[in-house]
Amino acid sequence: MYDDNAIDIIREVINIGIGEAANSLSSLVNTQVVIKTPDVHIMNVEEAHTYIRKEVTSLGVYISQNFRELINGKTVLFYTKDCCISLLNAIYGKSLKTSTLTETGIATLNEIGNIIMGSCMSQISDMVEGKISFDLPEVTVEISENYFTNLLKELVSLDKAVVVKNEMRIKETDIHGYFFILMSFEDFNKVIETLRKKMK
Amino acid sequence: MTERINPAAIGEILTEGLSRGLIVIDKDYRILLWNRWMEKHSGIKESEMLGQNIFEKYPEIRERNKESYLKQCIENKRNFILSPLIHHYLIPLDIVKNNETMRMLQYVKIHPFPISGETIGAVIIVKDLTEQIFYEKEISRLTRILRGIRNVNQLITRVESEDRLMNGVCEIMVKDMGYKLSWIGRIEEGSFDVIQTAWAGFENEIFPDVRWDDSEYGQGLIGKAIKTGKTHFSNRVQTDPVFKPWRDFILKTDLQSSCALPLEVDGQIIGTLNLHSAEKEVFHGEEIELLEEVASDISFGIKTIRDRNIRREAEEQLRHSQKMEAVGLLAGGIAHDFNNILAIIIGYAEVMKMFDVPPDNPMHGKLEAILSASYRAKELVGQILTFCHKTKEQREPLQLSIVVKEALKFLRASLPATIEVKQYIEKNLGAILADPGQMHQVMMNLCTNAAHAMKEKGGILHVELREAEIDDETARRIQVPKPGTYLKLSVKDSGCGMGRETIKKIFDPYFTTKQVGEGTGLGLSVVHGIVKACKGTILVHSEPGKGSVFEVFLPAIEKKTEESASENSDPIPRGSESILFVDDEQGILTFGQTVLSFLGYEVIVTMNSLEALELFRREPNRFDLVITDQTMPKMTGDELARELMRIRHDIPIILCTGFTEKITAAVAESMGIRAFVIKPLNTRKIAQIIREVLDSEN
Repeated sequence: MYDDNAIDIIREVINIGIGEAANSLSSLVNTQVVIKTPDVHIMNVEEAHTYIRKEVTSLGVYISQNFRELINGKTVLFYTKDCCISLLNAIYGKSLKTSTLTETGIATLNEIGNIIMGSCMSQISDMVEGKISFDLPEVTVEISENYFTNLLKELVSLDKAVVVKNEMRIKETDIHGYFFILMSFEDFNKVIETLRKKMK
Repeated sequence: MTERINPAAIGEILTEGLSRGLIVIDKDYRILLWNRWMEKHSGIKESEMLGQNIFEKYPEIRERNKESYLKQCIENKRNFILSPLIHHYLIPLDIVKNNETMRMLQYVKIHPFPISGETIGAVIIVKDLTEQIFYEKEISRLTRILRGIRNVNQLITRVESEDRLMNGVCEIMVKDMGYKLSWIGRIEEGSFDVIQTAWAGFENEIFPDVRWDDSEYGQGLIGKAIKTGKTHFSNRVQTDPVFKPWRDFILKTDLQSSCALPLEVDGQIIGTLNLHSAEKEVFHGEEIELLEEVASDISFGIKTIRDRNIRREAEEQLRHSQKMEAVGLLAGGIAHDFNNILAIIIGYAEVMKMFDVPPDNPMHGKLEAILSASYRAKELVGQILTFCHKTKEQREPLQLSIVVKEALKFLRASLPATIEVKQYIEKNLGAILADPGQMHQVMMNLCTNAAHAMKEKGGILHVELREAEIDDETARRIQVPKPGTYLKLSVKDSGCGMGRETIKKIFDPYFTTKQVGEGTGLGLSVVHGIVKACKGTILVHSEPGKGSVFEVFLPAIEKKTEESASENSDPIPRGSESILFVDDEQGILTFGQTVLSFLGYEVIVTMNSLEALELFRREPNRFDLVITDQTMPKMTGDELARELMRIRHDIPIILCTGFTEKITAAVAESMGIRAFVIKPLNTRKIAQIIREVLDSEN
């Protein structure tokens, strides 16, 4: 149903979105941010938890954000705790080298999540030429693996997940993250069809 | 409660009661709401703010490029988060603390403000995170310092040398503790310079011209730390007047704060650990205390390494002396056997020369040559044993020429071909009162030093031994106790020579100009000690590039010619008494029986000390004299003597020995032994001793 072509389309749009996000981050933190071509999968929402637990064996941090209007759903940006700390240290430099996630660190992750997820969804929004608005994101630091499962359980009306495995390089630090775009089956088809037409 | 909750009332409570700043602006960026929190922190009442354009009220928002967030929020209905460590603040609000003013660090959320689906403005929520960030920074810094302390302590337990310790510490200070520059400066006796011995942080730049005297360059933190033994620091080095001599360096490297921590070992300041940071206000209370602990640990580490090295050197010396003792034991064993062999050669040659071969026979000269060589061999064995065995100094009349010649023979064989050895030894020199082993050591130390000075290019080692008459004036000048006749030993080389400063230190223990592993620095100090103990003196003349001369003056006691095989014209004493002769060496036994029989004595021989004891027990009155070797299996000569004297207390006993530390003439005499002789003896000598003992008995 979702052939390679559909995946390629999504990948290209996400790539542009993440590229925009990297540019925004670069100018914000005054340091070069480089991204690699993301790895895109499409799966059902209930498969997303199994997927992430296979990929990541330690507890993580996720930043979630609701979106609405043209399409409705949720985006989730997932990093391991170590990656979050590496990301923050790469941004702060030596002045505030940290080994734990403090309130200040969470505030910064919130902003970074807002930038990345906002850029990607804005790109989709521009491509489908429809309005999508977003709530402010929320940061959750896992102390139990159930957190992510519970989050997905809340999303009863959402069927499809676009899963993007992405890698950024900030000041010689590699940051591996997982970006989930969760929406209903209908909304997902709407996006794919619109994008296919656009690409033609 | 059945009434619906009034959202407006809740809104009112939340607006004024939340500990957050709340600002609402319209599409034209005019302020519609300025809550109580904003009033409290800005000092501006809501009534003064309502209707004002936020960018005109706070132009800094535009100047700092934060305007776009408000515009995009209103125009594109986007939410924004401005985190404090990236943006610092949106609304410039001041916090005053301890008479210092700083900007509030803010966590800001910007929401579009919709009414009936249309965005009419934006809501700005401001949270103050200043204290939070301050404490997080403190914790982060203290964590770094503690990690650094842990790493320094781990380094101290692992490291083997002072250099590695100091360089390792500086690396930790920069990499783990985040300082921009770290270096260790050491001080040396006789100088006010602070020498930079280890550093990290800058590859090429080094902190210039630091001293600890009263000059301008000695008035900085480091100079004060060395003079007072206390930590000194400054958190604003770019404006602090004490840093004036180094202002250019500080500005070029953008240093802001500095600290100098003294390093103390065994109650003496040896230098400082110096830290420099690119941040202001770094060195305070708790951080200083922790850094002082680090400095104390480093000082302890240096002391531990030094003690360890001293212990290692002592262990090495002990191993060396144990090795020498083992060599001595081996030499003793060999010498004992060798002396027995010599005794046979000398004995038979003497008998032949005295009784069998007339003086005009050509064989006579050959026998003289054999005896001369044998006496020489006997002297050599004696010298080797003296050197190897005597752990206690035993000064005795000594022909220094023999020691010098023997040492030179050894050196010729061991020095490289590029070094030529020349000698001049005056004839008929007087003896000196000295320990032969120590004199050998003096010769070896002086000559090996001379050879080392010539190892690069080769040269000539010139050794001279002469007599010198020292008058009062010369005695005072060269610092010998009294005038008189001295032996002057000169050791001259054509090597690299020494400067004045080096000459002043060459007799100091552990001072050396050699590389690690080439010498301990003890050689000349030992020579100096030996010469002084012999009431002599040692002088040095040297110039760089012109070689060195060492002159040793030792007081002479008497002239003595070398032992020669000259004959004594008196007849050899003889007798007819009965002698029991005991020796475990068959050759000695046969020789003894032959010679003693020749001299007229009745001789009963046995190789076994137990058999000798049994013989004597059976017929104690049969024997007039017992001659026994000392070193025998099952029962030594002294033990046999004791047993014989138990049987017959007045039996005269002569004890013969090759060489042994265990028994001396004094000990033998105290036991009642009548004579104690060291092999090999010549026939005349043994005949005289036998006659003396027997005659004294009669």
